Amino acid sequence: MDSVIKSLVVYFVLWLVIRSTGRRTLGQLTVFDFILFLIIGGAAQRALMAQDYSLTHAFLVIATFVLADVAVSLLQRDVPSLARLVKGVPTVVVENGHVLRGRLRRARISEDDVLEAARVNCGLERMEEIKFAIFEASGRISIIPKREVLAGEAGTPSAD
Amino acid sequence: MRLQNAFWAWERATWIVLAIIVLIALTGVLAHGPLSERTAADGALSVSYERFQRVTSLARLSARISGSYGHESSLTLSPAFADNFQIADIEPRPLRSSAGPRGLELVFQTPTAGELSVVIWSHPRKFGRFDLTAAADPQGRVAFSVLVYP
Repeated sequence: MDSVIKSLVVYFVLWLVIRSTGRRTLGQLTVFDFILFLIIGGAAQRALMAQDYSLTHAFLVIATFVLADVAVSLLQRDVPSLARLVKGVPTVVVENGHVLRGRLRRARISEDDVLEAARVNCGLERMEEIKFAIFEASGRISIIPKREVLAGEAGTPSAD
Repeated sequence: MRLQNAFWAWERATWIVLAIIVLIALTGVLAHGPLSERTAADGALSVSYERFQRVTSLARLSARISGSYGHESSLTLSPAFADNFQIADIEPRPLRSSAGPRGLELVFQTPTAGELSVVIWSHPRKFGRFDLTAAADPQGRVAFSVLVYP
């Protein structure tokens, strides 16, 4: 009984803690972030396994984590408001080349991050070429170029 | 698509099996829960123990010896206990303890109220079923069995 209850508590506490650190994809983790997550994982593991190294306990912890994750995903599918709470909502951070600095600051991303995403995904060089930059719930930054930039690209003769 | 449907069906079946196991665990059948706790009594001796335990996990065994007479009361646990369980703590501390062919004998000072209450915390060292006895000579002898999961 204690294995299941402890696992549920740890699952939801970890979810709250990780969620409070903000949206980040695995590729965006710094070395320090990675070490921090390892330490959090180690602390949670010690709390869960305290003096019980049996296979039964380990299996119960795994089963409870898997079921909690499945239950949360099913709830997200059926209750859209919960899905927004759990996953977050996409946020527009650049609109028609105009940077929404307040949103950028609160999302803890910089203009450089937006420009990097614009370069990597669309080959854009300047903020003015961006119609929308959206900070997605997954932590990625999506870039939608302005129509004239796309039209200009289509009309540009090939270098060959 | 038939293969994918079969996979989804298997996925759901796995969730159901996991949910059943977790529900069973909540009852205490996989140790530490209401269905695990048992009390056995004989004469003046009453023993509360966990019927289901897990290897290395701390388990509580408590014994009450009522109507004790004399300055000292003794509790003897069968050799199977000493062989298969590692004692982590005994409350209160025994005055003397000895291990022999009869098992582990613990001698305590009888409290002034006359009823002795002893708690033994132990870790099972092996998994399997163990038939144990606790005796408070000459006031009672209780036999009980414990199932230890791997």
